[in-house]
Amino acid sequence: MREFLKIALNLFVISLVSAGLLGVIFTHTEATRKRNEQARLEQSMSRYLPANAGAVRFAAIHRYLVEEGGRSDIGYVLPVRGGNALLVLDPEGNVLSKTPVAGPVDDEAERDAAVKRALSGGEARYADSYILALDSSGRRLASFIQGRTAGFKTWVKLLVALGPDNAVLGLEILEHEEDPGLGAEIEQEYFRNQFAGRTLAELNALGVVKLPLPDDYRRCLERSKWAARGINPQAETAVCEKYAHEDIHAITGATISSRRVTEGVKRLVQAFVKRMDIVESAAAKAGLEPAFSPEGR
Amino acid sequence: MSEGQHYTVLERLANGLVRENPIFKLALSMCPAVAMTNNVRNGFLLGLAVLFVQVASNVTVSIFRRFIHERIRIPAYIIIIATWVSVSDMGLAAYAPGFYKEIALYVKLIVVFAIIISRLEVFASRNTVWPSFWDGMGMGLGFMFALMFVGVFREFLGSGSLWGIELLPFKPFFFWSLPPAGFFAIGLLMALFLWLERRFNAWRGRK
Repeated sequence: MREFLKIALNLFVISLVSAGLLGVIFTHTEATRKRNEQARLEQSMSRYLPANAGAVRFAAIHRYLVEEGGRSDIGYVLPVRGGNALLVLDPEGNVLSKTPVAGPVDDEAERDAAVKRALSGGEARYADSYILALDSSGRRLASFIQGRTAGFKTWVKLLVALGPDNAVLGLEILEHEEDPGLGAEIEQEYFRNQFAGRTLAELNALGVVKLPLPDDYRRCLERSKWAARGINPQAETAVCEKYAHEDIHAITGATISSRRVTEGVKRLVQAFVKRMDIVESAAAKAGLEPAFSPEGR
Repeated sequence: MSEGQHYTVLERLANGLVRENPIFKLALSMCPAVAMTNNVRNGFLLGLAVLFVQVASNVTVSIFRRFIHERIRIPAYIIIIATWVSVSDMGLAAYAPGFYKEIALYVKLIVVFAIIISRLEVFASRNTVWPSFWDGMGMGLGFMFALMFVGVFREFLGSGSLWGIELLPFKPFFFWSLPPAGFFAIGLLMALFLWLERRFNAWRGRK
C-alpha cells in the first residue's frame, strides 16, 4: 500500500512540475506567437496591394457554421457601424437573426467566445475569413480569402488574394503538414504563382495536368529569384503570358497535394464571390450598415 | 555501464557518432530516418531538433534520477520528453517564427522517437549530469550525421541537387526521392558504414 502511494505521489509531482512549467512558458509565449502570426498574415497581404495605395483599411468578415435545433445555418461576423454584428442566414440567404457581437473579434479564440455569447443557443464552428482591403474612399483594392482545404495528409491553410475584379492575384500557403520534398513543394513559387492572373471564368474551368513544368515557365514563376539570376522582368513576364492559360502543372510526386490545393482555391474563390453577394444584400435587408461599401456603388 | 565509470567528452562524442550511432548501429528511430532523408536540409533540421531534446532530456533525467521511482520511470521519461518538446515548440513559435515555420513539422514528431527514451533508460538514468550532457550531444550529432549522410545520397541521386542547390540540370533517379527508397538507401549506407568501420579497425589493429 505504501509503495502504491509512493508511486502515485511520484508521478503526480512529476506531472505537476511539468504542467506548471508548460503553463508558465505558454503564458509567456502565446501573445508573441499570435502577434507573429498576425504580422505574417499582414505581410503576406501587403504583397498584393498596389504600391501607391496610400492608407489601406482592412475589413474582416468571419464565416461560421451554426448548428441549431437540427438545422445548419451560416453565421457571418461583420464589421458594422459602431462595432461588429453576427448575421445568421439560412442556406437560401434569408436573414434569421442579427445580433451585436460584444468583444474583440480579431483573435480566433476570443471571437469564438464572442460568437457563442451572441448566439442564444446552438453550436458555431469557425469556417473561414474574408478580408477586404479598402482605400480611403471605401473602394475595394483587393480581397483575401483565408480558408483551408484538405491536403494529402491534413488541412492546408491558404490565403488567396483577389483583385477588385475577383481575378486571382496570388496564393500563399499559411500552414500545412505535407511531406517535406514532395507535398511540401506547394509552398514553392513555381507552384503557387501558377494561379496568379486567373480570372473567375478561367478558374471555373481550371484543371491539373501531370506534365513536366517547362524550364522557361518555371524560371519565370520563380519571381523572387529574378534579381539574383539577372533576369529582365519585362521579357520574363512575356514568357509567363505564354503559359498563363494552361492548366496547373502538378508537382512531381505530389499529384494529390497539387490537385487538392487547386480544387481548394477554386472552391474558396467561387464560394467567396457567391457569398459576398448574399451577405451584401442580406445586410441591406437586415438594415445593417457594413463597414465596407458594396462593390460598384 | 555502471555508475561512476569514467567517461571523457571525446569518448562520448565518438560513441554517439560511430560506435553506437543511433541509425547505423542501434537501428533506432528508423521511421523518421526513412521518411525525412529525401534531402540534406530535412536531415539537418530534424537532427537539430533531436539534438536539443536529447540533451535537455538527458540532463533532466540525470539530475532527478534519484527522485524518479524505479517502477514508473518510463511514463516519467515520456512526460519529461514531451515537456521539452512542447517547450521548444512554443519557444520557437514565439521567438524564431521564421525558423519555426521550417522546423515545426519535425519538432512535434520527436516525442515518440525511440532513440531519446532509450538513451534516458540506458545512460542518463545511471550517470551524472556532465557525462549525460555529452552523451546527448554525441547521440544527437550521430543522428544528425546519419540523416545527412543518407540525405546527401538520396538528394543527389533523386533530385540532382544538394541542400536545395541544383547541381545537375536533370533528376538522375527520381526513385531515390520517394519514401520507399529510404529503406534501400539506409540499408545500403548502413552496410557501407559497417564495412568502413571494420576496415578502419582492422587497419588500426595492424599498426
